[in-house]
Amino acid sequence: MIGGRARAFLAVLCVLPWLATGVDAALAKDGAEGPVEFVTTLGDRTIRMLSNASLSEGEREARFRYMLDEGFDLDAIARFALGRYWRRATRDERAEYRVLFEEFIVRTYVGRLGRYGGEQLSVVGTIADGDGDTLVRSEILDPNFPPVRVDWRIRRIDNSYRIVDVVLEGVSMALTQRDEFAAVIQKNGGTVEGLLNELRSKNTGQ
Amino acid sequence: MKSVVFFSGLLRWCGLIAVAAMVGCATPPEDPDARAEFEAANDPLESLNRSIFAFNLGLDRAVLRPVAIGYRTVIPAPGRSMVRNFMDNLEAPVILANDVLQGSPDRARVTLTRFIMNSTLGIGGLLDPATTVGLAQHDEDFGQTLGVWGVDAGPYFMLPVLGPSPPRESVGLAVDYFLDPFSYILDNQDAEWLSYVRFGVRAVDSRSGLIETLDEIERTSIDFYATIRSLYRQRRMDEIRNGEASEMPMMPEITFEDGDGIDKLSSATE
Repeated sequence: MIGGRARAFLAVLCVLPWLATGVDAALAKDGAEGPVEFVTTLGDRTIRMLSNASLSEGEREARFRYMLDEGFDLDAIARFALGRYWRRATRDERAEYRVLFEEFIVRTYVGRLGRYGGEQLSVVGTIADGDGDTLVRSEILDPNFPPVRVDWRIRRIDNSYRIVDVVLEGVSMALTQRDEFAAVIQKNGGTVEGLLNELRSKNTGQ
Repeated sequence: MKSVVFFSGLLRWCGLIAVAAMVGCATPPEDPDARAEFEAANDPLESLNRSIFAFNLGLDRAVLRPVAIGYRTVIPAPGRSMVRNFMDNLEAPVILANDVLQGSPDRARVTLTRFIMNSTLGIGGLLDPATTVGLAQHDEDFGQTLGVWGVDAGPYFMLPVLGPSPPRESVGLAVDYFLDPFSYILDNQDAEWLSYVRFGVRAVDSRSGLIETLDEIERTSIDFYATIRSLYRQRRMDEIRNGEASEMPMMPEITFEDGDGIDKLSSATE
């Protein structure tokens, strides 16, 4: 083992350049320029806006709401998160759910985003899905930590773009939300009202 | 000796699961939506699993989380990364075996090169020079290999202490134990206690990297158990795909009368 160490080291030196090439060249430059620009602009703005340490809680939350309305298709996300129960919900339940959902999202994410700052968003490629959505694949780079993979599912609506899902290290925020809501509805006897109740108390509870 | 302990433990679990299956198995609901949801959750022992989850959570609050916080406070970052590097390097043989079993020669080459480089230049694995030359660490285990081979995870199971362990992952864990040369070495040296130390260090190291994340998820979720179940499954599928984007299949089980394509919003489904 010890005797083989020098030879192993030489072997490593020989194969290294070959192992390390080929990754950078893989970025797709053609195709959907629009969604990529949309994501980088939104990402830069968000990081700039939230990394300002002098913001008060209220200001930070107001900015986050603005970004959510500008950048996300919340109607679509809310409907997706309710899954098969969207059909069952009455008109009034849908309307109240939509309001509660947005509040819930703000409360969930504004605290998490508050801790970011100094990171860089780097787009690594795009994948078009047959039905017009584009998956923009990116990495959030921080000098002190390994990169975090973030995929943005982008939908074109009229002449603008909207985010319909954020996938962190393979975990879809929309799907996680839908799975959680489905479990809550199940626990409450299969009624949408049960979920609305839980959302109401969660939104006012903290 | 170690194998005996291992097998008696395994047998006990099998007994427990069999008993649980008899007493705890919920009958599928009548209502079509509820039934579809029940099948999608694929968690027939849910109420038992929820109790075990609550037990694990109590154990975490009483022991693992405080220890992880202490570890992070006392040991400076460079020391912690040495511990992590060392543990990662010990896992290289198992990762290599699974790279090969999955038919990924390129990834096998990365794992092998990393192991050689980090065990030598990296002073027995304490340092990670391989990453600095572009050979980043990746993880593999036999549960993932089975996934690559097309084996379904099976119903969700929560084990005390060990956490989520559907059948595929439990089998994977057992096979990885036999693929690991270090378990044989420790066994032969009559030093099986070291494998418990290794398990403990691994747990504290992983937990210390997730303190804020898990606190935050628990604080913001309405149903922490269901959220963890969803996160666990999605992470496993991502690991099986090695981080490639998923195929984005349609979700035909969900339709809306005002059909707006929302049913294909996301893709990761099992």
